[in-house]
Amino acid sequence: MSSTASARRPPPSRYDEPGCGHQRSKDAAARTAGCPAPTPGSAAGGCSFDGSMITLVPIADAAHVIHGPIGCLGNSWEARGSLSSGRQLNRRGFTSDVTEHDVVFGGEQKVYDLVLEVAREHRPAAVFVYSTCVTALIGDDLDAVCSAAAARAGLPVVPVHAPGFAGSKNFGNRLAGAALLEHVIGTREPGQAPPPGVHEVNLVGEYNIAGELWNVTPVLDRLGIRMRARITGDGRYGDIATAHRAEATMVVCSRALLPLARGLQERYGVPWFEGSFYGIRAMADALRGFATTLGDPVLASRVEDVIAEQEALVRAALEPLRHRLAGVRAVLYTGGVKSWSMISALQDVGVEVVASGATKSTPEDVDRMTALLGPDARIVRDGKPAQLIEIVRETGADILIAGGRNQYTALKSRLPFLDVNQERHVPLAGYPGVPELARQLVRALDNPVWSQVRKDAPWDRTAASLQGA
Amino acid sequence: MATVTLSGRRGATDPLKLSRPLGAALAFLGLERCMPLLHGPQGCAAFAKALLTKHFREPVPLQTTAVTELTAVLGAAGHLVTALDTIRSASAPDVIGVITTGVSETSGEDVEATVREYRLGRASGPQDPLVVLVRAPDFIGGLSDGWSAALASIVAAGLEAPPEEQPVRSGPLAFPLLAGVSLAAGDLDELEAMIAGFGVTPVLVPDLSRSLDGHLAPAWSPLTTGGTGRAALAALAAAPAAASAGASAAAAAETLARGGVPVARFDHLAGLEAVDAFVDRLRTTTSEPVPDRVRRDRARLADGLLDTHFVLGGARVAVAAEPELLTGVTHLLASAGARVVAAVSPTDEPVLTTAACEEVVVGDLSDLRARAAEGGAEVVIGSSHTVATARAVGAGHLPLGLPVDHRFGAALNGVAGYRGGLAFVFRAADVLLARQDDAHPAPAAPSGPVPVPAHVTDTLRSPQC
Repeated sequence: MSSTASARRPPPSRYDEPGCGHQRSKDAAARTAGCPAPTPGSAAGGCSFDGSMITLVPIADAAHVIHGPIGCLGNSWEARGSLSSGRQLNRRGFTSDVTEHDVVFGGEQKVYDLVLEVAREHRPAAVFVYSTCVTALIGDDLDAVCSAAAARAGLPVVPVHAPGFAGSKNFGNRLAGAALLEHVIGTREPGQAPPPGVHEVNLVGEYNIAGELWNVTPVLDRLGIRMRARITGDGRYGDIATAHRAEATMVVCSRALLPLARGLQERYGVPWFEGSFYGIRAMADALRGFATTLGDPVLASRVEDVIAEQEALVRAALEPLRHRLAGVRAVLYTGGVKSWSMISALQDVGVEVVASGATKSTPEDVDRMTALLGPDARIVRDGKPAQLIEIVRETGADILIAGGRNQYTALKSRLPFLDVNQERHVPLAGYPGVPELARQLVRALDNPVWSQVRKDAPWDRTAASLQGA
Repeated sequence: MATVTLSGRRGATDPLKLSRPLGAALAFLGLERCMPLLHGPQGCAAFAKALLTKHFREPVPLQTTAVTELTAVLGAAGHLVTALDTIRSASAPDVIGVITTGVSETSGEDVEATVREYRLGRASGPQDPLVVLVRAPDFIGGLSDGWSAALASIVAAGLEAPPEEQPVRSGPLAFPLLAGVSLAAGDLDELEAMIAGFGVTPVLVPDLSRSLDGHLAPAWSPLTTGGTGRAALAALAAAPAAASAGASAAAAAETLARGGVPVARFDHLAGLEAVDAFVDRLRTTTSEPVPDRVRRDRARLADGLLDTHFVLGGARVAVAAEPELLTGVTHLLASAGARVVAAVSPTDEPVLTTAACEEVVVGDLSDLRARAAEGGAEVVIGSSHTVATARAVGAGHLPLGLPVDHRFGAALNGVAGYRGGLAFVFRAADVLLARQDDAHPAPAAPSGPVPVPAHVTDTLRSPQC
């Protein structure tokens, strides 16, 4: 037994985060409160395991093995539109499908056998093995299983300790980042150095939803910025293992992966910056961010040329839509960092954001939102569907812009809706994404369906509804 | 008669199985003004909710007790009580379905005691919600087992309802139909109309045709906007006769029978033979003639089977579905001469031995892929997850089961009854015809390379994954 003093020491470093607003708070109670816990009976959103899969499963040439009962993978696989330009082994679902027998006698042997079978049959670049609530609760030693399986199979087998009950989806993103830092990054060296004038960088927190990454890479290619590691949209295990040799890291819309970027800097001296690929201003900031972080004045001037050229193209493409979007009011409800980056994108296409969600946002995120929206904008802390509809009504907004979870809330309330989260099918990032966002908004707003469904059937029409129609 | 084989695989590759709590939650979603509550970490509810939302294209009421790492170990009864109180104050439901999960079952807390005490202490009055408990460890069985257990608990709760809740009987006699997990809203509509045609009042339990059928209600609601009402549950015991449709309703049928109501049990209601038996039972039970409408529908199915037999006869089909749905579909397909070359069920059930194929494998979609390829399947029938299987073996795809989120109409399209069966054989035959169209495109221009049909290129591409 360890001493009482050491037992009372704060938990290991995964709970320490210098960048966390809560932990830096001047109020001692707030400092130790930790992340806000969900209210039983009034909670929404995914778990840490979900978050760890979001972050790691896009690694397309790896096999992802879920050690848990069927609910963890059976109910969740193939749910996200993270695309790969090559191998798609990540779209297959592997699970130990823990049974009652395993709960009683342990599931280590079973998941070990499964990892070896997957390694033999599918020849993955690596295997990620995820713990879940039940297998964490029964105490299966995933680290031991993974190191034994790695030795036997002759390929990297990475344990991911993010059981669902550890916390929120964001926390799972973070734990997944920790797994990459501990087990993957720095384990390989790149084959050859980039040609002169070419910079190699990492993207962290970009998941290539609907192929968004491919809206951005052409511009970066022209600037001589190429990817050392995509973490993890269209990601490859071997590239990520060499991420420590990149010259810079951009963290794309992900607070939860800041510790990963910070780890890359602390351990390997790779500088990083935060940015977003949504909207004209964000793209300019991102490109300038690369030039500044890479410290290349030649690049900096080329960046300015490219920005001027691309912005002219985008403004021309937006011209026919601007008139329609002028005066359109939107309520935005999306998580964390995405909120301010999406506000900026919406403003770029001429939409007025009258309220924005901040459920998963940090105080810094909220500050940036307020800076963009002005002091009068509503910041929505409680994203319950009833509340969202209420806010749309109060603000007289024309459209709700949110994640798929709220799509049917909007439709049932006969409100136009645009999906900006992980289940969308249209890429909205990069310069091509700006006019696309405008087109999607116009498509949603101008559909004749709204006027039809807002009218009652003839036999149900009252004087009031006739006036409204 | 089919031989049931276990795949023998340890774990699953491309799982077909869905979780037991998901099945239980789905059953509760067929009750009116209901909120299912998963007693476990919030991810269990989030995954289930996302899957159901995408399949039904509807907002899905589903809450969680949000058990944490700490309370999973130290006891989460407090979470359950708080969740029940929170849901009541937020939306005042008629029914709350408490569903355990892998975590609450592994930690071994006495959920039954917590719920019992809650009922006695805080939910004993007629204005209080009916709180129904279902044990649903993720690590035993799957979707059908969860549905089965929940439905049995729902029926038991109805039978236990205090006498003052039981309404005075008026009008035609009630005829409860305990619905299995495989019945889509369209199926339920047809069965309801059939029963009504015999002069009795159909009472569907549960009734997804009024909650998750995709209807635009007057306003958004945090609860289910339709389904079996609480009063109808309380009146179950008074019914003179009832039926169950689906193997996953058999446990509930037994519960209802113990309550003194004779229940005619049907493993599935797909195909002429099965539906005929159901209709004949209604006829003998009610002593009413078979309505004209039902006769016409039967004649249409018979004619449709004739029309499609040119296409379906000898066609090689692979199916992956929940046990009762799989069994029903094999009968429907076999009745038009199709050969089921691969049949995969996520869990083992006695009903599988009655499937109209040689072998049913209890396994996953890698079993489906292997057997479909071996049998040269021309069409793969199953959830959206089987689209990749169809592509890999170069077959057409017909959506069936849960989840279907890549096509529209999944919540309505079923296989049961005369109408459901007819629509299904038409869809199956159409997939085969479309595949033939693709294989024999209109004559190309005389010069240039011969176009490669899409399903061939898909096959070539498939080894990548």
